[in-house]
Amino acid sequence: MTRRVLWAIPVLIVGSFLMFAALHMTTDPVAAARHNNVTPDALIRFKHDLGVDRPLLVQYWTAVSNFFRGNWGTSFTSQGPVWPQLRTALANTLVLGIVAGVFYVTIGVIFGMISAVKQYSWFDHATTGLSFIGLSLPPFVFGLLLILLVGAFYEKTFHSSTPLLPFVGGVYSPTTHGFNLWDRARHLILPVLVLSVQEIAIYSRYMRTGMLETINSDYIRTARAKGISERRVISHHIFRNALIPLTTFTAIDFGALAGGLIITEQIFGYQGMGLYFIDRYSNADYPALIPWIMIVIIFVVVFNVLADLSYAWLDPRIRLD
Amino acid sequence: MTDLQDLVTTGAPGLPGGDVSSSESLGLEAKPLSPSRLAWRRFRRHKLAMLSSVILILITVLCVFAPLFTKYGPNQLIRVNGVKFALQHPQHGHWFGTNERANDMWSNVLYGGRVSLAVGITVALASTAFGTVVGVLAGYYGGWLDDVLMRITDLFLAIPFLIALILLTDLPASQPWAQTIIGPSHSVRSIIFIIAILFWMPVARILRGLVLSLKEKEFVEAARAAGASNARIMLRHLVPNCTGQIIINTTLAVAAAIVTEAALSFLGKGVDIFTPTWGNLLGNNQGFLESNPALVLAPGFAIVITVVCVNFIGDGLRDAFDPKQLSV
Repeated sequence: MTRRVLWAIPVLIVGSFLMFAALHMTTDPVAAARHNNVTPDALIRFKHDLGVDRPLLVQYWTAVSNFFRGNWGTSFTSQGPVWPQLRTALANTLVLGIVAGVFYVTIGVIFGMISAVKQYSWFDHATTGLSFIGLSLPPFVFGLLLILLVGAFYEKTFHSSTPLLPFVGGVYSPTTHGFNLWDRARHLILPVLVLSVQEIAIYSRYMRTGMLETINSDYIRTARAKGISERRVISHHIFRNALIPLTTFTAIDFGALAGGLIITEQIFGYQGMGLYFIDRYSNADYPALIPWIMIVIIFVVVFNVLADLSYAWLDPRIRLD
Repeated sequence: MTDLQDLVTTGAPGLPGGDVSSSESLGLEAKPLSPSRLAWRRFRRHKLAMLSSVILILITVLCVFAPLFTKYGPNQLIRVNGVKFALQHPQHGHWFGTNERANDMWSNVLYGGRVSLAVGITVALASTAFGTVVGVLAGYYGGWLDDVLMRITDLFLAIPFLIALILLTDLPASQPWAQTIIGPSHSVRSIIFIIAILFWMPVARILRGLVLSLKEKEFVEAARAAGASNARIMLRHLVPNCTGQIIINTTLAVAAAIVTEAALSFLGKGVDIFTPTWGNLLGNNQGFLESNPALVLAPGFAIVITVVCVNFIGDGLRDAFDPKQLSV
């Protein structure tokens, strides 16, 4: 168990270093400055201030220690502090990811459960068929289809001059100022749907398999033999046990969330972590990107560890060495 | 699920020879069939998988022999009465219309399919081969080698997938050593390399798990007692027993790789935009979604139909190789 947790540390360090190194190899912040007609003197000073004239490992060490000291510097893109923009991006992605997650896990679990309880019924067959199609619908295709549906198709059919739901402009309509729950929710609908199609398919498949495996196990037979009502067997014994692997899955999904939902964000111009990275990456904006890398890797690694721990905790039969 | 003969001849999966003894002990006269014949038999019964195979073969033929099915080249400028014939709606002679650069979309989809399918198949084969090597070595030798290989696998899984792909696609442009290894930035070759580098981990994990259980079986012990070397045990005994899983994973990886290539191209980070691929066609024509939907729908449906077919075939193969659903 401790070994498992301790392994997370090297993964964290090497993972963030690799991304840091890749960032340094593919971008050149000085080249970006060169475009702005900076004098050679200023360029050298700039290089020195950035620290890009030092060995990569030293730079990595400086970046990491600055990150943990909260000393995040100024973004090249916004010419302002890094944190407020990163915070907005992280919050936007988390809101989208959590709303979508609650939606697709609920639907997926319900569909999978009904499929398993009524195995080989028309509902089961329909769910299985649909889940294959859902699984094969990449977000960029489904997103564009949805845009076509709520945009051009809706406008033509109902002679409307505005689309049914907003699909450009990101988080709020340009006319909205400040917090507006209704507007915010309307902007979430399409991205949530795009994120959910494949996930509902995956979760319902997992849930169905998990339930079917549990249904055939000995302790379920024992529970039935004790005379417990079928409803109670399903809700208290089968359902709960089938949820265990899903918990792990959800935890890993959640950890991966911080990296952004790039495709979805790109389609709808939703200013989350994915777009944050892509925008600043093209500017070689190191001060803005390094905290991004660290936060994302920490998220992934921490939630992977939590997934393992929760698995062992929920299912006493599993023991981590 | 299976008829009696299948049940008898299958015996315990993973045990070569198990079929013979069980049929004898049951006193049934069953003609022994090779595992691949049995698998093919079960696959044939999966109607959707069979239908998908036919459709997929059709798509492949259309793409591979594209010049037979279209008279235009993918980047051929089409003029009508000397005027550029751009952004046309679907019509006779141009089934999917023409794009902004006055190229025929039908021919673009066919030629694009060549690249997309090639990327999908090559990535699937390369990553599955590599993942198999890693998984079998880790599972068979165990100990520190297992630890090291599995931690590397964890590491690759911890890096955000699409971001890593984007970073890697830009690598050859600024690093000459990367260019010599994986080819120029945004070339088909480099995209295949890059996706494959980030695709082998699930296979490695699955194969490791399989080998961990297989290596305790009697036939491995027997082989070792007969003096077989480690290499021989792995290549002749363990890998052949994982054939089913390897084939299933390769198939599903084809679908995933096609989608990944399309996603990268959609973000403008895939194969250079003048080479048609399904992802590029989708990304390049995104702006005409509302004015000329066919330009987006054609490559979009090409991707979806192909991926649905591959996934159904994968499901059929799973039923064929793993009739008792031993692995989820």
